[in-house]
Amino acid sequence: MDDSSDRDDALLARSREGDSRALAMLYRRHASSLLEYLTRLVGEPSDAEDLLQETFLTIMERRGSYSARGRFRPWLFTVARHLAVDRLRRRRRGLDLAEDDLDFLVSPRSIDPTETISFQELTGQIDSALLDLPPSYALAFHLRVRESFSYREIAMIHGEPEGTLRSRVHHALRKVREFLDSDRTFTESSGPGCSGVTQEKQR
Amino acid sequence: MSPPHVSDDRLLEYVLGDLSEGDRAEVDVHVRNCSSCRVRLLPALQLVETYRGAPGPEAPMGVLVELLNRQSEARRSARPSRRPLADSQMLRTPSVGSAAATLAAAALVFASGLWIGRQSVPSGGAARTSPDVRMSLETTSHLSMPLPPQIPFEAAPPLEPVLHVGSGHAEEAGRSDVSM
Repeated sequence: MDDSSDRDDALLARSREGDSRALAMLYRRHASSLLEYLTRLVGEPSDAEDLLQETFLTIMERRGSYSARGRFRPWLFTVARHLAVDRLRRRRRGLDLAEDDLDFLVSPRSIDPTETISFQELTGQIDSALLDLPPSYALAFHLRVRESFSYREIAMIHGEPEGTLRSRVHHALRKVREFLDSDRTFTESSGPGCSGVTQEKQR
Repeated sequence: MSPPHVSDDRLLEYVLGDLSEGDRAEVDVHVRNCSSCRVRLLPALQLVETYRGAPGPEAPMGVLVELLNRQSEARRSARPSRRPLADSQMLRTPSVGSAAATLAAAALVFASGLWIGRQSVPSGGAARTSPDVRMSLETTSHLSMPLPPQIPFEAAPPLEPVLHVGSGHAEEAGRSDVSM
């Protein structure tokens, strides 16, 4: 357990005792990354925001039963994912879906990378590439690379085997690379070191 | 005879932080001395670092104000008897909160924002604003320079088991009960 996890546990304990500042800090620490994940998961930014609130309310409701020391973040994302899947299922009510059928529940084209300013510059092209992938691959990649979750944690959040998730992340990275390789502008415009890569490639 | 080049799969594992410490060190040494493998490594490394380092969306403060209001209300109503804080009804139709509570919550949000904004970083996003990451990207992508001893994957979580509290959580995660 690292310092950050210790801190989350301490903040959760303090918020349970009614410390509003601790609750505010917990929110500040995790709301942005959770909102990003939820947006990727459900597509609609307004739905993602609703789910963000719903997730934190659920956490507040259940914080008394939290006993998984050092696992606040995976727990938070697990709760969020369950709430999101419930919402997606309601959206497609009437269809008989398996719990984890994310590739069917989530529309692969449901996120417009230009909708959120923070996506626009650095991750626009990567997001475009991820949108070409099945959502379950893109989400696994997102949790591994963007959120630095371990495969075990992702397995907990998504309820899928670690090996499956690992191969999805690898596949996603390969595909994103292929996508970017076909788009020369990535290597020509995305940073001070890129010119070196381009030059070397051209030799 | 020079050692064989690092395979594409192994480079991907390296970039994703999936290698053991020993394997990682081996790749470190190799790519430091092999420009061909460096050329193959850098785009993937750059991709991962770019995605990791991009700023995230701004968390809506209205949600935080609402959460703080709920907490205050729950504390008030919990004095005679403690009740669960929220249910699906509460989410949709919040009870009447006092203006004072809202103002207090907003003030807290503002004050904590000023303080937290300087002091805390989302745990998972520690690398997002790390100048080290930027520095190392710049350094490693300059092909005429050797790679630094630490190619930037310090932010990746350790791969040792960290989720063994309790049992069967991975299986439980697929169910609707997400209590821990």
